[in-house]
Amino acid sequence: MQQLSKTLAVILGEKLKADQEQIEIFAYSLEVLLGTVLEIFSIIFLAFLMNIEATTTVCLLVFSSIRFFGGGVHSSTYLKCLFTGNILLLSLGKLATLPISQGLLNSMCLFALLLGIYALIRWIPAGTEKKVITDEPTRLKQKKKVSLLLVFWFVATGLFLKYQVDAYALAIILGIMSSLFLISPLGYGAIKTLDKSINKFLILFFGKEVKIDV
Amino acid sequence: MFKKFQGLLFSSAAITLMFVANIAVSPYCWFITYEPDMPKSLQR
Repeated sequence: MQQLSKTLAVILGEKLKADQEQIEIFAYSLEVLLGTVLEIFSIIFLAFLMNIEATTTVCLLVFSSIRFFGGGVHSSTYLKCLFTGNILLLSLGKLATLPISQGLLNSMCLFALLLGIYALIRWIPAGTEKKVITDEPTRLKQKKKVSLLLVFWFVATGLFLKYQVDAYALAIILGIMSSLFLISPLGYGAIKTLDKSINKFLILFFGKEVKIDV
Repeated sequence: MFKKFQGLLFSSAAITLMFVANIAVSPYCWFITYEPDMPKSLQR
């Protein structure tokens, strides 16, 4: 992905007679854009194969919208991120199709609401090693955006619950809970552990850590 | 005519990429993907 982005950026740079700095920005942007398109495409494609496209799309929408404003942990390579993202969202999409009692659904909704309030106060916006948001007014702005988004998703959940479309209500709740989990310190720890486990697995099978760039 | 169209196409692509890069370095988190290293010119 990195190599493809660089090649495309150089071609574009040559056509536009851009300088080195601009080519670097093109490459960075292409890497972000292609990675996102590939990941979303693979999730939707696999969801279609598994016949869970509706709930997975709802989960993906909720998850990525909260993540866009609230931040969260990233894996260390494209392949791990692709793998983790696919497994996570397809599992959530599948879980959302399972029958669930109204009582459990309401409890999960309440838990997601409380977790959302706590995350807003304590963790949001969550930074990464490469991007940390320390500016207080910017942090406050991001908190406000995430809180509006959470209100929107909880209203949507309420409507789905009212009209007894439980699968979509559960998909929204799972999307909220998973994105908040990856914003929490527990989520950072889990992804770090998963990264290490995948590395151990690769070392076990290939004799060394394989740096695969998708 | 074709060259003009090609030029317009490349310029549009460059503008889009600059826009994406700008969002990627802002406080927003670019969806669910891996976060590539930021170019030095954007770190300033």
